[in-house]
Amino acid sequence: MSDDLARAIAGIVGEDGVVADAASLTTYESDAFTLARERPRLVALPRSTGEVSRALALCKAAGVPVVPRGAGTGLSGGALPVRGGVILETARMNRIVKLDPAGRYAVVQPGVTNAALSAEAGRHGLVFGPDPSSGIVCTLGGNAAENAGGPHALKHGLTSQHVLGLEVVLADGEVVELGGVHDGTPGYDLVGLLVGSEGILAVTTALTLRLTPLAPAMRTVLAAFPELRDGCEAVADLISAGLEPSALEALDRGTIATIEASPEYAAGYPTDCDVALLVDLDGSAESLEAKVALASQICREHRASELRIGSDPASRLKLWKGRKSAFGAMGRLRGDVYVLDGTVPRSKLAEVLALTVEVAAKHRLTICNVFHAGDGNLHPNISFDARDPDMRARALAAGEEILRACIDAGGSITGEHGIGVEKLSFMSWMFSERELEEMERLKRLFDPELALNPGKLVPSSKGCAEAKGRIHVETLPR
Amino acid sequence: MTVFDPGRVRELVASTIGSNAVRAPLDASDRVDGLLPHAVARPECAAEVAELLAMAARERLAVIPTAGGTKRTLGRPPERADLLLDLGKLRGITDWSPRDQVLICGPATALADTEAAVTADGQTLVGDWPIVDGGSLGGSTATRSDAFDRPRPSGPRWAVIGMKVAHPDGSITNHGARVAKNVAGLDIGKLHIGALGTLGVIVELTVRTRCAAAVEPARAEGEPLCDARIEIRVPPGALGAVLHEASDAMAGSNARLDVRASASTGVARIAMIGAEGADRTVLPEVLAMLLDRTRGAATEAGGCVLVLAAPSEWKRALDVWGEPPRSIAWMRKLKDLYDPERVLNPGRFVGGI
Repeated sequence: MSDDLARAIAGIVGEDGVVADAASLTTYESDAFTLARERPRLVALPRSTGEVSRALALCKAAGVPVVPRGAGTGLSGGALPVRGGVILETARMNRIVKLDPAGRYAVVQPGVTNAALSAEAGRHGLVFGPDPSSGIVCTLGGNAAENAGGPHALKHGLTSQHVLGLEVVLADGEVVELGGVHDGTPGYDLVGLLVGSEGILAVTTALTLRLTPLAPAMRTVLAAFPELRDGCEAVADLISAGLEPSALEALDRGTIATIEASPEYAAGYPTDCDVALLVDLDGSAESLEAKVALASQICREHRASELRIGSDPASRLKLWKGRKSAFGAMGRLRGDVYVLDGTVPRSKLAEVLALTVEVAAKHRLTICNVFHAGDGNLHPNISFDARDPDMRARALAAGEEILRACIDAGGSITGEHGIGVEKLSFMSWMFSERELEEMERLKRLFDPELALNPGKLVPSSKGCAEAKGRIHVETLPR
Repeated sequence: MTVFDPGRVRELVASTIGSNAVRAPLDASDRVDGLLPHAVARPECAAEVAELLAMAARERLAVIPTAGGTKRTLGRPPERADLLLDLGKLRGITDWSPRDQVLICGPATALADTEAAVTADGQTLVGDWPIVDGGSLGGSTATRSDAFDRPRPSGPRWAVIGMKVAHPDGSITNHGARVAKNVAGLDIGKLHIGALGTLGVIVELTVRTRCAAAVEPARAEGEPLCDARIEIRVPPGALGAVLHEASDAMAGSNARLDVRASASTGVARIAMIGAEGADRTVLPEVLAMLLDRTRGAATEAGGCVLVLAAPSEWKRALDVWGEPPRSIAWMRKLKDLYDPERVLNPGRFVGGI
C-alpha cells in the first residue's frame, strides 16, 4: 500500500480490512441513490468498537472525513463517499451479541442484516418490527441511521420506535452508551436524536433493539380497483374501520403492468385495474375471519373488481411476490430507477397520485407508483437512462415537482429514505433558517470539525443557494 | 445567584406581556416542591411564552412551566423557582382531521377534553395517554407519561409526531410534521419528550390518534391516595424479581404497597401507603429502603426505578431519578446548548440538570 493513511488504518483493522484498489473502490462510489457518485480514498472494515474508535481518532488527526456505510442500500445518498475520505463499512461487525426472548430485546452489531435478526428472533416467536424492502441485505446499523420503515411500519412504526439503546463512537473516537435495554431510561432521549441522524453525529457500533411478539395469525387481502380514487377511498375506510392493518400497500396500473411484463417477476396480478391494494391483517385466528370479511366488504363498497385472500403462508407469499419484486421489475424498464419518497396526509393520496401521472406526461417519463398507502407514504419510481443527460435532468425535475406537491399537501419530503444528499436543497421547504441552524448546532456539538459524513442531512449555512432550493443533485459529482 | 424581590419579578413580567397576565402566587396551589415562586405569568400565546423566556434568560429568572399541574411532583426539587409559567391559556384544539388521524392542540389542552372531542369521530387517545383527571397533553409529553400496561410502541414517543417549542433565546421552532411517517432532518422533537421542560417549552403539539374500535377500553388510571409513588422499568421478564424485592422491603414496616404492573411491558407503578395511625416519621426511611431494594434488582436487569411523587422534604433526601445514565455528560452539553443560563426548571431533571 503506497498510501500512508491506508497503512495506518491497516495497522488498526488488519491488511484484509482495507480496500484501496481502484477496481474494488468502484463498488463504493454510490449507495442505491445512483444519481450521485464519488470515489472514496479507501474503505476500512473494522471488526470491533475499539477498531472503530481508533480508526476515527486516526482519521480525525489526519483531517480526513469519514462516511459510515452499512450495506449501501440507502436511497438518498447517505453513504455517498466524500472525495478523499474514508468509507467505514460495518460488514465485518455482523454478530448478534445477545438475544433475550423473555426480555424481548436483542443486542447486535451494526452489520447484522435486518433479515438475519428477524430470522433469529422468529425462532422465539418474536420479530424485529421494521421491514424495509431491502431487508435481506440492509444492515441494522443502516436502519437506525436512516430511521428505516417498510410496509409494516404502518402498525409497528419506524425504526426509532424499536431502538432501546445504542453504543456509538464520536468523531474523536469517544465511545458513548445511550439508552438501555428497556423503554424510558431517565434523561434526554439521545437515542431518539441519534436514530435517523444519517451518520452525521456518530458511528453506531452496537444496538439494543426491541423484539415484538409475532402475530398469532395473519391474512392478506388483495383488492383490485378499476378507479384510482375508489382505491384511495378504500384505504381511508380500511384505516378508519379500526382494522389496524399491519401493512396496507398499493401498486398502480404501471407498476402492475411492469411486474406482469417481466417473465422473472410476474405474479399473476389482475392487470385491468388502476390500483391494487395489499392488506395484511393480523390477530387471533378467530378475530381474523371477521377482519377479512370487513376488509372485503369495504373494498367491495368501493367498487373493487376482484378480491383474493391469502390465508396461509404460501398463498400470502404469492400475493406479496409482485410487491416485493416491483423494484427489480422496474429496473428492466430503462436500467435506472429514481425511487422517490414523500408522505402526504391520507386524505390527499388520490390528489397527489393523480399529479404524478401529469408530471410523468409533462416530462415524457414513465412513473410507477408502488407505495405504503396506509400511512400516505408515496414511492413514485421514475425510470430513466442515466447515460442520457436530458432524460436524467427530466427525471430530477419530475422528482422535485412531486416532492413539492407532497409539501403543498401538508406532508413531508421523506417518509423513510432520509435526506442524504438527494433532498438537501428541499430542507428549506420544511424548516426555517433558525430550525436548520439548530440542526447544524447539534451537528457541531457532536462533531465540531464536521468530520463525520459531512454534506449530508443538514444544508450547510454557507451554501445559501443550496438552502434556498436552487442547487439540485445535478451539481453533484457523477 | 441573584435573589429577586417578588415585586421586581412581577414588574418584569408585566413589562413583557402586560400587567393582566401576571399575578401573585397562591400559597396553596402554586408551590413547587415547597418553593413559592415570586410571580405567576399566564401568557396568551406561543409568542408571549417565547418573549417571557427571553426576558427570563436576560434576567436569569428560574422558570417553572406548568399546564395541568398534575405531574408537578416529578423530579428533584428545583434549585430556584422565580416564575411559575402557567400555560393554561394555550389550550384548545386548532386542527382535527379524523381521516388523517391527526390533531393539533395547545399544550394545556386537557386529555379528557381531547378524548371527548376525538371519540365523537370514532377515534381515541387511549393506549398512548393515560387520561389523568386534569392532566394535559403538554404535561404528559414533557413528563413522558405513557400507559404502563400497553404494548410498546405507544405513549407520547409514539403519538407525538410534531411540536412547536419556545426557547430561552426568544425563538420558536417547529419539529416533525402533520404526517406520522416522516424522517426529514434530525428528530429534535424527541429531545423534548420527557425532558421536563428543561430544554424548551412546548407551545403546540401535533399528535396522532387511533381508531377507537381497534383499542381496548381504557383502564381507569386514577392515582391512589398515597404517601409516595415510584415507577419500575425493566425488560419484560425481569419484573417479577424486582416486585419480589419490593414486597420484601415492606416486611415488618408500617406501610403497604398498591402495585399496578404489566408483565408484558416490564413496567410497574407502585404506591406506598402508610398504615393508618402509624408513626409517619419513619416513612421516609421505608421509602428509601423500597428504592434501595428495587433499584438493586432493577439495575441488575438493566432497568431503573424513579420516584413519581413524594413529599418535598422526603425528596430532598432521596435520589429521585436514580444513578445518572452513562451519557449524562452529553445530556449536560445539550442543556448548555439549549438553555445556557439554566433558567428552565433548574436542578429538577436527571443528574441535577
